[in-house]
Amino acid sequence: MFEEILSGIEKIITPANMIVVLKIAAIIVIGLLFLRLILFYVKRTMKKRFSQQSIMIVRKLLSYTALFIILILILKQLNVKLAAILGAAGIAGIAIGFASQTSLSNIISGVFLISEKAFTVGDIIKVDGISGIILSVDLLSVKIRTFDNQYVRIPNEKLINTEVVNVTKFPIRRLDINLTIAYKEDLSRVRELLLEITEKNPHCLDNPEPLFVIKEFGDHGVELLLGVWFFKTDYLVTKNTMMQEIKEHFDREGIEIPFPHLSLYAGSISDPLKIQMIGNKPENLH
Amino acid sequence: MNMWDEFQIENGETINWQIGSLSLWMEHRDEEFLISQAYSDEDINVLSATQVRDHVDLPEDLSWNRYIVQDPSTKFQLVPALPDRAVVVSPEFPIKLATNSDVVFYMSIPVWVQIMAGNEKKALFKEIPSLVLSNTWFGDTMTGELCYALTTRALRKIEDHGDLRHRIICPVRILNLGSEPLDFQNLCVHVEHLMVFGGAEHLWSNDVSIIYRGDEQPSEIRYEDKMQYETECVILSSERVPSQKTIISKSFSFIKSFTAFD
Repeated sequence: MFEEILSGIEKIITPANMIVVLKIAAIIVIGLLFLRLILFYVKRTMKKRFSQQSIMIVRKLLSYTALFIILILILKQLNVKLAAILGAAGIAGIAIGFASQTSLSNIISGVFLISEKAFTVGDIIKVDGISGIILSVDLLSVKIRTFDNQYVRIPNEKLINTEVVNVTKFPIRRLDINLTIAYKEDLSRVRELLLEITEKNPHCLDNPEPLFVIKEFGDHGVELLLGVWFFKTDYLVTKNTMMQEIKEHFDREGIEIPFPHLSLYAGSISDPLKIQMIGNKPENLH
Repeated sequence: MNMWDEFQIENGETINWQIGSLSLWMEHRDEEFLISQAYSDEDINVLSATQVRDHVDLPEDLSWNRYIVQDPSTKFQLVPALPDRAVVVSPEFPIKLATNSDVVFYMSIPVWVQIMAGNEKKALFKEIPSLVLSNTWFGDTMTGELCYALTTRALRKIEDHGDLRHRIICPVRILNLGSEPLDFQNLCVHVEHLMVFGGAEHLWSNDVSIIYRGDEQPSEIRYEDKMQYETECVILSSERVPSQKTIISKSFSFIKSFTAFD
């Protein structure tokens, strides 16, 4: 038994076969080293002129092409007839194509997404209630990192069919702060105060000017909108400082922010509603 | 001691600088240097350096940053610099400049204080603005640049500035070669391309000339190498971003309001 295995190994490990193995090893090592070198130079030369997204696509295309060439060279060393393999691959391709319609749809969607340039690596997007920073835009899917540090993979087909909000496409954004103040407050004074707070906050842009809108007379008070512009990276600091300063200034000036409540009136100017007891007091009522 | 001269801080010593609304403290404690700053509500015309005799004089709520250097006898220098971004100057009232006319405005820009450290070759230790300027945007909402906002009276005489020791005076000459009067409310000055000169009376930047040729054409901006208003002056800081002597750029903003809602 042992002798049979040994003779089998001797038949495989012939000088001719050893040369083939060495050649294959050389192809793999040199090929991968050459690929790494090319990828390094591509990244370095493209870094200044092209977006991260374009660099990623070029690098992936180069990697896949190089790996395909290495595979062909290895098969050639093994004396595998490429024509037969490619023929078989054609038939298999049709079968795989039918079986992987979703993947193909994703690939085509990916091509559209990349060419449309609706977003790129590093942008913040919102899709179906999920928001995060784009890590990569690939042919099959887009990978994002949410703000609570979760990895989310969104198929390209879904992105084509769904509304996608690119939060950081433009350099500046507007933060809309909805406020409700009591009916008794002086609207001019409140407007003046809000614009003063905005002017003093260094994160709020002076230009475009802040927006002040009296939205409507709501159920609980007068509803206002204050829209302040900020540079896209300053979202959190602008929101936190503005909210804090509005609350502090309102408290200091005695401006009431009403909470939801219900007041009953019998007319526009009236006394409180009178309550009258009808009938005798129940005996067991304490 | 001259504000912008080299200095050393002995162990246990604390120095306080007042530069406009900025109060800056630097203390040498063993092998570390501690730096703290605070701002007053108003931009006061003051430029001074004093030794803090007693720690009781220091405000209680100061938060200190620790800096460590190899050599405790390191020399320091405060260097006045211009802001690190372009400044959008908004004169108090809109200005109209007739065609084929020119005017020089003297803009006073708050100093950015650079603390440099090192005995032979100095390196930037920390940078602090003497006045916290608000952000503003120059351009439309899709393209443009982030700048600092500066409201100024855009004075036409240096004397009108008075004794502005804590600010850098930037002379901007505007020449209107367009066919119509130039009506502007905002002016964007790329101060990161400007040097700071120390004169006997004021701090100056080099001259800026803006040649306006009409709405449809970009303005031509020239940065001169020299400062012509004081004879004896020295370069205190060089430009942050070197630029070509002449560049073509949009410098004026004519649209005042932006009223998009929903």
